Amino acid sequence: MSLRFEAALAARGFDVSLEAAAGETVAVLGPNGAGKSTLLGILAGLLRPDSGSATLDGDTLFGEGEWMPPHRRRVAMLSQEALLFPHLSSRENVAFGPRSAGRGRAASRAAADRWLDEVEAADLAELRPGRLSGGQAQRVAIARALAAEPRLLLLDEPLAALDLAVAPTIRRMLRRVLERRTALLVTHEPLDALALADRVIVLDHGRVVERGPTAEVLERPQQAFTAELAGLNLLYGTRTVDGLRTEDGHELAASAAEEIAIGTAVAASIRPAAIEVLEAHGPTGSVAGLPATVAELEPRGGTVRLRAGGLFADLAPGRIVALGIGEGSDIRLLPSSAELTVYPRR
Amino acid sequence: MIGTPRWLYVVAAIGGAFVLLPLVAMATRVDWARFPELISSQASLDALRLSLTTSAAATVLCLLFGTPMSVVLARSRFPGLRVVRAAVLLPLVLPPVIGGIALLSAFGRQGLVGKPLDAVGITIAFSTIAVVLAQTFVAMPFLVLSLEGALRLAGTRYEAVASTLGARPWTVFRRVTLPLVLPALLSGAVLSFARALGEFGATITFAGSLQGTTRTLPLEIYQERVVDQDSAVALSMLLVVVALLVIGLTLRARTARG
Repeated sequence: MSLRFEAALAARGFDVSLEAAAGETVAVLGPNGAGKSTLLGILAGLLRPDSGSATLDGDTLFGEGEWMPPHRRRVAMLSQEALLFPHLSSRENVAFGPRSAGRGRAASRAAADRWLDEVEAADLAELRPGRLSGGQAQRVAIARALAAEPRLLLLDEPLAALDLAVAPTIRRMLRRVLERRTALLVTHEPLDALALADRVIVLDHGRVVERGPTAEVLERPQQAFTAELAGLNLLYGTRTVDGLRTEDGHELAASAAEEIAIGTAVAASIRPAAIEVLEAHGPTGSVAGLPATVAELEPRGGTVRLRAGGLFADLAPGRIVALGIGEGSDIRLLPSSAELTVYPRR
Repeated sequence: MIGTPRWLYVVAAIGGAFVLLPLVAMATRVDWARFPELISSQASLDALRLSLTTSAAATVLCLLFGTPMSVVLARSRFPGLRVVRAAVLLPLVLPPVIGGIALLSAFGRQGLVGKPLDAVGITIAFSTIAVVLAQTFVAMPFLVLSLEGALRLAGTRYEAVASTLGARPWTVFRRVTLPLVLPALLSGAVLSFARALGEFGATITFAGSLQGTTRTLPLEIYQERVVDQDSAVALSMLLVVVALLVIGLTLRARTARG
């Protein structure tokens, strides 16, 4: 293991442990206030935990009476905002790390140019940050962080402040530079985690609620909280021959369920768009699906998100009109049996 | 565009006139034909030279000690910090005469520090050093006030980034903190210099008024006012010009930088 970390900070209700292998990118998912910034602050050496310890490549960052100051940790941070030093040119910004490490002016300059080239920002070398666009500034900031040759790279929502048009380019660039690099990526965007991280840790209220390989956690969440982050519905129940019986006793069919012994506790996830909304009592008297009362209808771009019985369903506005439903209407929610993923509950 | 209430302009004009009128009035009373002769007496030249050198020295002391003070006030947290800040800014609201008496109590021949110093042959009171100390005493808050505010506004985020990039605290201070607050540092220094240049009460109390040693331009003007009105007015005009030059040069330096 390259990074071992466990720390508690009572003032922020923070108590987290995590590990990252050398060359591995771990995504830390969680809503605002979940403790993501606290985690990064403690790792970077900007915050002192009450207790705990951390080692990076065998060196103690903190713990057992030891404390390594931030400038000696070689833990670089890339934030949502580029935070380029406004009084220095792009090249001088990137050369800041090498210069601080004691390398000569010429060598630092050469290193800066190499990294600027790496992030396709060689043409920006002479410019001051005030003249850069958001995407350009973030590219220079990436070069600056990498030029410091960090042993651990911390990324704090690096794409959140960027235009939608620029984000994909920077995401691709990060994907390239994060390869074979030990990094922690804090985000609330599952897409970033899927694109960039090998593993995921889900934080809530300063605690780890779920962890595992990225696709596993995001496609087969165990916790409602994780499911919501991943944009999925989550149901609990027991395995039946056809699929599962929910905790409320409703039978749901799942055509592609894995081999799980009948009667075991299972979880099932499904995309909001794969849930069909039906009238409470079908014309043929059918009552398949989950009865629920519409709690909220929220327009989202081309679709409407319907919230009922703790589930979300996305449907076309026309469908709402055809069903003649509004908030308070009784309906049935029918998850598509082809899309309902059933897996063991842990 | 949101309009500014019209009556504000009227009141602002009255305020501006109140500041400018006395200066214009003084300019009309200057005996311009004799101006070069009035300001070039030996006593005046001595006073001008002394004022410029002591004010410059006081500004250097303000920078040397005021900068660390501002950083400590802006960046550290300890019990009693607010009391310390209030104490540091005290000279700003204190009548300068009281500052002079306080300085005398500390550095006078019978003073707390002055007495032991006197025993080893160092006398501060009524020397040029006393002038510089008096000026530093009253001018320091101007630098601290300007710089501390700028440091708080700049925040610590750039400093945090710099340290994660491997910069030691001193490197962070030198290469990030100071450059970020340079404009405030410059304007604080100019304000301090201007305040030192105009210092009167603390100086006359603590340093006295000896020509060539402690009689700065404001003291010379006050002295001349009794014996030679024309000379006093001419010297006042000179001090106004010097003050304008200082402000003008700084503004130019700042626009050139920005």
